Amino acid sequence: MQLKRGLSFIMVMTMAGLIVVGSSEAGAAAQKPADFYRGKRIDFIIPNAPGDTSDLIARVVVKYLDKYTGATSVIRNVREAGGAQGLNELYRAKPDGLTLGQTNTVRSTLAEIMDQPGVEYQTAKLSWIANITEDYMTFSVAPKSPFKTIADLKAAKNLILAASGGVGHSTLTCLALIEALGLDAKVIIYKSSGERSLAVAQGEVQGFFGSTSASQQGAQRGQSRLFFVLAAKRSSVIPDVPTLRELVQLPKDKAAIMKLWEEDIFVMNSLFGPPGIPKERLSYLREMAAKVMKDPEFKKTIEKVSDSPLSVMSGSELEKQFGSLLDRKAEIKQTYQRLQDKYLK
Amino acid sequence: MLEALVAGAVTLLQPVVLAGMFLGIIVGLVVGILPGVGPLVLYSLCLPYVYGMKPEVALGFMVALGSVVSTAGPVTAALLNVPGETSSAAAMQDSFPMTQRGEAGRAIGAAVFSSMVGGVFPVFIAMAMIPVMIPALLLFKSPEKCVMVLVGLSFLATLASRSVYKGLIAGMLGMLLAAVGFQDQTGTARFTFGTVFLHQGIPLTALALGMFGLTEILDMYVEGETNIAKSLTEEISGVLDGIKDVIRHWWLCVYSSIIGYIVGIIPGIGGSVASWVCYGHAKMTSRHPEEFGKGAIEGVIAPEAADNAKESGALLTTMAFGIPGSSSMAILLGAFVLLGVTPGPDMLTTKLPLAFTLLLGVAFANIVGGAICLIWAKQLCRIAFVHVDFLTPAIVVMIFVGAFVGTYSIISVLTAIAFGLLGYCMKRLEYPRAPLILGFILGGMFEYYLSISLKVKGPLFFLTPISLIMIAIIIALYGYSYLRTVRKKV
Amino acid sequence: MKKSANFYFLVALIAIMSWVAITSLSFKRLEAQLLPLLTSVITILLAVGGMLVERLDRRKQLVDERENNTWTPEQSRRLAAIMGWVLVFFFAIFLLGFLAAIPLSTLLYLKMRGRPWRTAVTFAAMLTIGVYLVFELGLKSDLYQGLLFSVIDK
Repeated sequence: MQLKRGLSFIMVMTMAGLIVVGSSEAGAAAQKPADFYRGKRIDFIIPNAPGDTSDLIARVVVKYLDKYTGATSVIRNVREAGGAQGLNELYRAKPDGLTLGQTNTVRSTLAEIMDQPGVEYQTAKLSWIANITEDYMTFSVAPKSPFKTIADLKAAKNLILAASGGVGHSTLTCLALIEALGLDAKVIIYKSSGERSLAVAQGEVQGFFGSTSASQQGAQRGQSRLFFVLAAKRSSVIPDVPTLRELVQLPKDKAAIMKLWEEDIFVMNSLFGPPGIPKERLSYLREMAAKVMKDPEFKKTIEKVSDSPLSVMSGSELEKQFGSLLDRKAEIKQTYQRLQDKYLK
Repeated sequence: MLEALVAGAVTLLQPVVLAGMFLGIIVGLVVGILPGVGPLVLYSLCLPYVYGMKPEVALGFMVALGSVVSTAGPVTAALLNVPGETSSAAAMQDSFPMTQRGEAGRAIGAAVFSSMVGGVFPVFIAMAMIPVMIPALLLFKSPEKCVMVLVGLSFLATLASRSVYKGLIAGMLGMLLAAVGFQDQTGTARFTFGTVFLHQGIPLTALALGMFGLTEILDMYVEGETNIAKSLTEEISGVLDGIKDVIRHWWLCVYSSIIGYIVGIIPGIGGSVASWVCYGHAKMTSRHPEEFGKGAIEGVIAPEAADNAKESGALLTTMAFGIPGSSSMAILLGAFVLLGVTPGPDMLTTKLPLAFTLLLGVAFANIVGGAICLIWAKQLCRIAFVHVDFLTPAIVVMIFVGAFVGTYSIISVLTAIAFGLLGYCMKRLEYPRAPLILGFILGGMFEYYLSISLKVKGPLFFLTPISLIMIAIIIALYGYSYLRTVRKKV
Repeated sequence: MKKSANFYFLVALIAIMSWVAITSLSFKRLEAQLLPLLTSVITILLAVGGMLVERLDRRKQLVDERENNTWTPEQSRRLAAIMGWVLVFFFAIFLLGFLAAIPLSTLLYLKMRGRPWRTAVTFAAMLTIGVYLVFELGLKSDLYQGLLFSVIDK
């Protein structure tokens, strides 16, 4: 008798609990996005080391996003497996709009394209909110380097180019350049961009690719000299530095290799969420992100942490950008696998 | 330059800057005692709060915090055989045995005071080096770093106690463990068994906490010990004795500080290298090398001085070059940027007063932090007499939380347990654990710099002036040690 | 003659290092092969050397073992007990999270050691509160909350 009463009690409490949880979920879904976010806690994942440029940019964005949404973001740096762990976690998170992330998305997309171990996410399925900064890759040489023209680079023997961050953006652009210009060169991958910059300053290597803003800082410190920008047109950050296209006219097949890096893949720092965030909440987040980007205080602050220009790309444009890139995944992977085998000995 | 020094000192003495430093000192000391929570974790937590503060106050706070963590870490290492920071593991080889024989006060006194000296003395070297900092740093390229790491690896044999082959096996095992993970240069996942956790490699914190901390817990329980201090006397030996030991071994302290400072300047080498190299070197040059590992005071003084000395070196490189010397310095660099201070040559020219404020801040924090530790040392030593029934769960909690906080993965806790068991087996079979840690720390570095050196310079990469000097010094050292052993036998 | 524990350890080491060496050869690039191959081969050589040293010193070593280094059934029992508790603690953390596992495991240990309930509960509570204050509140460390609570949260 007592057992029966006990079991009935448990059943009733369980049902009551389910009703409460279910109705609160339903209630949340029916709420307007603005009311939904007010007072809520956002789990903000940054798949980078604290103090990294991407981390600093994200922290500034978080501060202003909280200002406009009324939510409180709790930042976690989850950088295992080159940041893949953080992205995996975000990808698997509940798509209620309360888990967001921000990082250099090209790095993560390239990791996916090259089938790097540890990658479980699919970039094209992420809920893209906004692009924060946009930057191009710039090729720099050692400060006292004798290389002034592309012809100098082509004529050089046993060139050593430096990259960092594993087989990622800077490494793949080096490989592309070697292939496109037919350089007698090899690539050394350093552990960090700091060590890479030091290697250039020491004259241990002859050149490297870095984001325009970072390269400009290196040049200002006298650690390197800017050579060319990998873009369709000159960068507003370094208007005096020519593009590769201005310096050399490449044959069609070689130009196609560089076009990927000039027009389709560039340094982007983007805000996103897991796949499946409800449409209204995603629109709301995009709207709030747009307000953040227009905030004059935000602009002033972001300039302190990054020289990269603020982006004009919206969330929906980002979706298209990554979608089209990932459609070419097989082709890009095949090309760069071949180049890795050829030049990364 | 003198004007900049005076301006820097005046800034340091501003009440608000001093207040920031004091806060950093207190937080650094309290948290520095906790295993697994080093400058990296502390800096990451503080980063959001410094935003908007005045640069001198914020940076003063962070620099003070990072400086004293290395001062507090030795306390846990000496009392509980649980390294507060992984770089404390070297001195722990001797500070913990000292505690076990009832000399906890002397161990802590020596560890903290040598740490203080190591934290203060190189600051003045750093200030004197400012004009030649950048040219000096440019001399240490990958071949020189490779040889430096090789010099460190050569100490593997000296860290072996009775049996050289056992020491070398432990060292090789450590180097092999360093190979686990994703190798960036080749894009190869080695021995990861398809797991994301091992992708990043075996976490050093979990390894050290397990291999030293947990092993001792297992050993104490199996042997039925009731407290850490095996000595029957409850009398706590003098902290002052430890300080006197450091003064007596002043030359060991000074040159260990210099080695630590030099290692700190060079980006990519890391502080643990300095502690272990100085430990090995102290053993080789000691009159009683057989005492090392059993409670030799030089085994405490040398690595602690070196460990703390690296901070001023790493700070100078970070400020002068904008290139962080370590992962914790990378976050400090982020703080610089957030506060609108751009590291680089400007820090050594137009912003030199701020650079001096921070360097003097390191010295100040070490003096104050060290003094606080020494004052409380006697009380802290009583932990050695607490019954193991209470210490065991407390230490295991510290180990598990410390291992978790390093990577935020529960698998790190399992890693610590696995290495605790391995460490216990090694202890029972008389395999020294110190060479394993040294091999682990240096193995990956050696592979990395060797690979770059071979690509840049070919097989004769070591034929550079600095490399040859380092090789000559190490050959001379081994020669001296061998001759002394032969003379002793005769 | 009876083999020592070290002998069996060296045998196991040789087996594991052989597997490491063979696996290393399967890595595509020489750079990836170098460190594991070199260290495993050197370890195998050292282990074989160690076995020879053991054999040469065997008489003396047996005497030493008998005097100093015997492993008793009581020690086995104790090792099993402490490892058992450590593993239970770990699984408690895995399932319930740090803040629930710490008091439960501490209580379990102190009761295993025969401490009175009052002492055990007080100490367990103090330890948990200390961890909470320092790590959760002070350092905002976001300690692992356990599988059970993660599922409930979702």
